[in-house]
Amino acid sequence: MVLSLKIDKKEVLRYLGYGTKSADDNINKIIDECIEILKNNAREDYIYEIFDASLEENVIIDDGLTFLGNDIKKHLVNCEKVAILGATLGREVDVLLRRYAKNEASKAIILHACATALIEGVCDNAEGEIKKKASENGYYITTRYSPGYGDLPLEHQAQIINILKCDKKIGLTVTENFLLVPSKSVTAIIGFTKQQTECKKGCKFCSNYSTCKFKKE
Amino acid sequence: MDILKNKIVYFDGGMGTMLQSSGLKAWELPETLNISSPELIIDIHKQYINAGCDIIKSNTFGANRLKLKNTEFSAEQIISAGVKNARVAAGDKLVAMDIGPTGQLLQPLGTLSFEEAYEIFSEMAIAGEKSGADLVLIETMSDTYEAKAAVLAVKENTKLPVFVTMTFDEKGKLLTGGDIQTVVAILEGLGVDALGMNCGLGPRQIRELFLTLRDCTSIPIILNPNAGLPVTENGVTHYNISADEFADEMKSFAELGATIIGGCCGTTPKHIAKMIEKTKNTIPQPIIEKEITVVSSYGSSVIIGKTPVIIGERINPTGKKRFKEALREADIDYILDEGFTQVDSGAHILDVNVGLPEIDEVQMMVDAVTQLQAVIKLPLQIDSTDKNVIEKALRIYNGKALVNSVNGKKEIMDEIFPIVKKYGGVVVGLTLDENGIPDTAEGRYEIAKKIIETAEGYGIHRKNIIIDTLTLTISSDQAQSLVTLDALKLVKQRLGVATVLGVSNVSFGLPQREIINSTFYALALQSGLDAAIINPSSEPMMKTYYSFNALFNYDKQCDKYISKYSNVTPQKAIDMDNLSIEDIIVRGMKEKSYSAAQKHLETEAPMDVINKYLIPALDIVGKGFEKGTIFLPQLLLSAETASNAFDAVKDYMLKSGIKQENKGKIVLATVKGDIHDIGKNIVKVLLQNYGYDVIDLGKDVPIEAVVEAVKANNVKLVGLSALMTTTVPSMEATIKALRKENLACSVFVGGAVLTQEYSDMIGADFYAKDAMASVYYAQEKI
Repeated sequence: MVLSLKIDKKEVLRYLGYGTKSADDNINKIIDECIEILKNNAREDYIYEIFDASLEENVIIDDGLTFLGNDIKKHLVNCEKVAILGATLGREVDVLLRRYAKNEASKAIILHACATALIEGVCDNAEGEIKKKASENGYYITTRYSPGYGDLPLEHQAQIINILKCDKKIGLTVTENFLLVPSKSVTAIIGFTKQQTECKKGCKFCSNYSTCKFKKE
Repeated sequence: MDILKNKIVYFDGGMGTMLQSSGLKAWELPETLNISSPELIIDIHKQYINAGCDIIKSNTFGANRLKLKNTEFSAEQIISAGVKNARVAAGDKLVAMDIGPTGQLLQPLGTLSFEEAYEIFSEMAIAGEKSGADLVLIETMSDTYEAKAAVLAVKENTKLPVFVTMTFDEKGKLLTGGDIQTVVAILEGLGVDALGMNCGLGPRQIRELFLTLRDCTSIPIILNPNAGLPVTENGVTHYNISADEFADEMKSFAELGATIIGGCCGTTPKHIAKMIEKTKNTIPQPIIEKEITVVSSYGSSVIIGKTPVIIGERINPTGKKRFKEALREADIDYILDEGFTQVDSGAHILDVNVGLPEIDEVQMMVDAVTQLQAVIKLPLQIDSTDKNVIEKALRIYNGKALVNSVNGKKEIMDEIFPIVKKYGGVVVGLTLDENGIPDTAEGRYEIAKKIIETAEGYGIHRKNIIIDTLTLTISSDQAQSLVTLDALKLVKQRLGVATVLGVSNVSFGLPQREIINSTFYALALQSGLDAAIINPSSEPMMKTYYSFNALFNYDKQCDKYISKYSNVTPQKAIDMDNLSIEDIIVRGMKEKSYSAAQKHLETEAPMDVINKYLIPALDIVGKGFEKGTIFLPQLLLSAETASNAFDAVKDYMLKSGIKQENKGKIVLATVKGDIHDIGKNIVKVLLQNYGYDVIDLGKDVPIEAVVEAVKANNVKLVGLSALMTTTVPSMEATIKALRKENLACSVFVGGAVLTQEYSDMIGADFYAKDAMASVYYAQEKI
């Protein structure tokens, strides 16, 4: 496997709790090793589909799939369509995370951080593709919104996996408790709207801004 | 199956594709149409029959109880309707009961157990047979373990033939990382009737993969590719290969050796009709037995008989005090460590022997294999004298194992061969029998011959036997080493099977054993030894291995030899030898701490070493972590460094017979339903460092298992972790269960979504905001 994406070491350090501080040689060396490990073992699989959306009492996708909660409704205000996205680094990354958790916990958490940076990169990539498709058809897109954000129930993971056939197509599954497996995976909803609204992207717009240990300063 | 004899056999094409074009929504389950619109399904089946198919697949791909959970139908109802619909259309053609993946990942990655998967597939297979299916097609599998559960379910519960097709990516890998040879090893081992590929790719992308498959397999090949790759235009997905192009590609596969062909996503009756038209005069290629000896794990295979193979011998209690202790304490982590060390040292296969008279060997073997295969990609050698141990291990093993061993005794062969026939495997045959070990090479060769012939009588091909001509100790009978080597040559020449030896026996009772061992190893390699059971951490043995490969032109351009022996690590600028053990721990210099601790142990008492150096060093790091000057990775690195120093202390105490003082037992678990256990693992490392005996129950731990562990070990402190809001209720239920039993233990909790408030609400005694907080709490409580 050759990764198409580069892993941003600054992001890795942020996930490890370093904020904007830098790490010593010892840790930097392990980060490099982990990036190398991911290069050989991670996949960058994603799949998305675009559906019609109607915003009534709840958000309804493809004439039959309902998303519950007010926050997703707010997020998708004025949207006519949504892209639903599933992305995963695959199973081998999970095997390696387990392996290092057994006897090298330091490497395990660094690998976690690198994998998190990578899966976010995969999603950014997919979002770029979706954005291009949207703009070709005269739409602007919203940011990514995932089950578990705000009051959008985690239960929707199962419906997203099903509607995209993620299990069959990219090997992304969901457990009975709505956790994604493989663990380094994301599902997200992106709205398509004709109206250009102010892009509320970035840490400052998050409700946890004041307390978050991982914010980008 | 008779149908496979004289002609190319035709499967039908896609069902989902046809249903979508008749209006099926993405969120609807296509299988429910078997009951709600049988005419629609029957019509599609008929179109394929009219196109000329020999076998049609019932519309039952996802008809399992997990996927149907939120519908009003049972798996049996949907399958019964699905198979009957196909039956109506099929006439005198065959109906394949179609079984797809469960949609869940099996443990250890997911939460579905192997036995649950087996149950789900059994229910499907039984319903399929009852409703009149002629065979079972297990398809679109991306995990050999799930495929194995399905194959066993079909074989043990029905009389139907089993076909299996798996889905590969363009590089020929499954989603689990397994390659084509590995898949072939496992599925042929399980005795499936035909195997192949479906879905994922179109015919153009599978060409190379198909050729690899053809060179590996000795049974009929099935190819059901997609109609090319998916393309989305105006929101509609279609596939990019026309019926004509599809048919041309499939024709060339049939000419090259595929015997059962059809289509998957995007293929329509038109594709299939064209394919049949173009191949109706194609004569199937004969299927050739591939005479190679292969063992595999879930993700990689090892060929025995080409270049020398190293079987790591370290997972074995014989003569090892510490290992025996680990077995008695069920300390799987110790076994895993032995595994990791051997992987890093260059082993190709790991021998697993966990036999000790006072323990339950079956359970220990099952646990060890389960845990090893969860984290180590090398194939395993199941090593036991108990047939129950071998059978249980082979059943749950995700691969084609080496089995150690049978010998020429009839009773032993009659016990072991049927098990190997059922589950697959390569068996080590020891050249001894009821009359003992022959002291001539001819005598040992005769037994080897008998073993192979008996195996063949059980339907086990001779490629799946490797012969051990037995290394004896030269200090008791010096002539025997030559007999072993001569027997090796005879077996290679006359029987043509692969060979194996446990090398280290030869030097028992002699000084500097590695000198004799490594020389004997070289002689054995020269005499035709294919696999050696050795300690891969032994430098002299590995020197022999690398130099032999260079001298025999196996190691091209001496690449491996050079990369192994030309690199001398440059010394760092600071004089590391003068660092104190505290410095070593604070800096996280893992490879230095064991010897540094040993040095202190020469002059100081073990407990003094711990209390004067190790704990204070850990405290420095812990404080730094709290203040925010040291970050989590450094904290853990120091913990691991300290852990190596603790190992030195432990080894010293074991050797000198000093009883260890233990601070107390703590149970840790990631609660039922939750699979995110990194936080728990971090806490475990730190608690172990501070001398606590951690009973790690793992992740997705049933409530009863926590209660039981607390009861059985009289535990006073329990740590629970949960990542998601959806699994916190299960944390609460676990705490309630502990309270209900009136167990006098405190419970601390941690995890991303937890807060002090949440922790109070679910009745925990303490909320650990980070890993160090749990250490402080433990110190307070125990």
